[in-house]
Amino acid sequence: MLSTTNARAVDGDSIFQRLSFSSAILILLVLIGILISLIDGGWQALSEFGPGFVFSNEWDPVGSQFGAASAIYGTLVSSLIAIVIAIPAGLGTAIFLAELAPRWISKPVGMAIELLAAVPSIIYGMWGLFVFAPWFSEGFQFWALENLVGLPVIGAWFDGPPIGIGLLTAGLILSFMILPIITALTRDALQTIPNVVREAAYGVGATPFEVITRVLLPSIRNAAVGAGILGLGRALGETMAVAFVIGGANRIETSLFMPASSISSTIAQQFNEATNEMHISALISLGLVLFVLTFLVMGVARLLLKK
Amino acid sequence: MNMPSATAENIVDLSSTAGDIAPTPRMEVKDLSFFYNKGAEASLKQINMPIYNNKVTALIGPSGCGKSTLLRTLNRIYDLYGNQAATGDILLDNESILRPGVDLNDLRAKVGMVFQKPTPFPMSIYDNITFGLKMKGGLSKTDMDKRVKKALKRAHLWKEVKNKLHADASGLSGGQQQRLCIARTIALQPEVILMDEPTSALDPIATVAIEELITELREKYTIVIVTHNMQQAMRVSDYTGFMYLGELVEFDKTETIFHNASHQKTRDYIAGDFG
Repeated sequence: MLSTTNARAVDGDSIFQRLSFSSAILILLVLIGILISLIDGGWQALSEFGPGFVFSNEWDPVGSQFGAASAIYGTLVSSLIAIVIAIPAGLGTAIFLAELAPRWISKPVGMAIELLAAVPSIIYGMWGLFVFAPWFSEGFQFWALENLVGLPVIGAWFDGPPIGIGLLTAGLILSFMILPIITALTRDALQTIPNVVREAAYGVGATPFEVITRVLLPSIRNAAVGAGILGLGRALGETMAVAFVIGGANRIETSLFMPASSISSTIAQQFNEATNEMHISALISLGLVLFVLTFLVMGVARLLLKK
Repeated sequence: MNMPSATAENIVDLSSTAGDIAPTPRMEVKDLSFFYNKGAEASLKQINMPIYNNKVTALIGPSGCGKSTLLRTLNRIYDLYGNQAATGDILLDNESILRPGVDLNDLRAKVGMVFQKPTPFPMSIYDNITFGLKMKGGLSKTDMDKRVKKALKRAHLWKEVKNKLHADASGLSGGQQQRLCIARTIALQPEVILMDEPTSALDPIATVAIEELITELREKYTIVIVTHNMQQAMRVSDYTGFMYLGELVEFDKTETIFHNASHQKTRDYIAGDFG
């Protein structure tokens, strides 16, 4: 009797172990499969242009010349703008919701933020193009042209046509998109800090500002960086929202007002127009570049997290 | 059954005990009631109790009896939560700490608190101790160094950490962290130190270290300690208050409470019949 129960338990254990092991392996296989098919599909372009594919910014489907530099630049810069805006704004919102706001505000606003995180990106894109871009053109870009252009260093960023769309607009829309997730994650992290830590800090006579900046924020440092990485990951790969507002120009310009392109928006906009094999192959190679780029950025972010 | 209520007549007049120098109260709790929610039932009911200068006062009683709640009124840490309220009065050096307009930072510097679980801040050992000092301001770097050293020495942590003052405090053991929290409290030079079950998260060796520390600290500070552990109350305290269902049933010298309590409920609790 005893031995049969034991045998059953051992059988169940080993089956469960194999099941969970194989699902873990499956993920790895899918990842490798994607990588292989991207390399295979992009091989024609990669072997034709070599490393120049990454460094050249000439993207000419008619002349069959393809270089990814401008798309890589657009992806990195728009994501950078998004992160630079969304991290402080998200942290600030999270601090307000978790530490400062009365419950009757923090509850509904917190729920609204979670809903905002679930809005499909195409809505952000549409809103960005039809509502935000005209307003941005009149409200900010004209003002910037008059007041910021002469400034050293940053002046050149704002020297361009005030047409509402472009690299800066894409970055801003992306920042709106990733703001909810950064806010929600850091707010949750703040809420997991036991109250006794706050009490101890207030107990030695600290002000709310000191408690937040010197005790609470350092306590959630890892969670905050993690939220930033997640937001960055989303920004790097975001397609539709960016495709609507970035302008679709394969150029590298200093001005953030100029139309540009990102990797994913280029793929989305050109895939069904691509007729010759080299063009398709170049677009698949772009996908591979995005795949590797995302991995690299995540890897660097993880390294930063460890320090 | 008629539950005794802790009104003034329940408190034995301790100053008349023959042969002893009359202790002077540092703090006095007067008709204190406490509500976790406005309009809800009182969690503390009409508490009257002295807290004597340079003595260790222990609060004992079963879980939920209000002993931690009482402790939390003494530095008004409950003020962090908007819906909690206290009525009656608490005096510190004959001045009310419950009246409006009391400087809470000043009060909490005078009445320090050590919690159940060690609460090191996410910074270096040195910064943990100076964190509160910097709030007060007016100390030079040398003064600060001196204060840190003195506080750590008094908390018996100096020898263990003197070579790693700028290492992160989270690297210390639980017992060391708790001593760091005590050092942090001492560094502010408080008058009263409140301890909420300061050893409940610690192993026996660390517990002994903290208990010895409490006994020493009595010479300089007035200490109130909440404890579940009756042996601990017996070992470290001079006075003991027994609480039950939000009332202070009995308050007396620790010896009297443990060997000659006047209330049946107290005797039952000490004998281990409930709680």
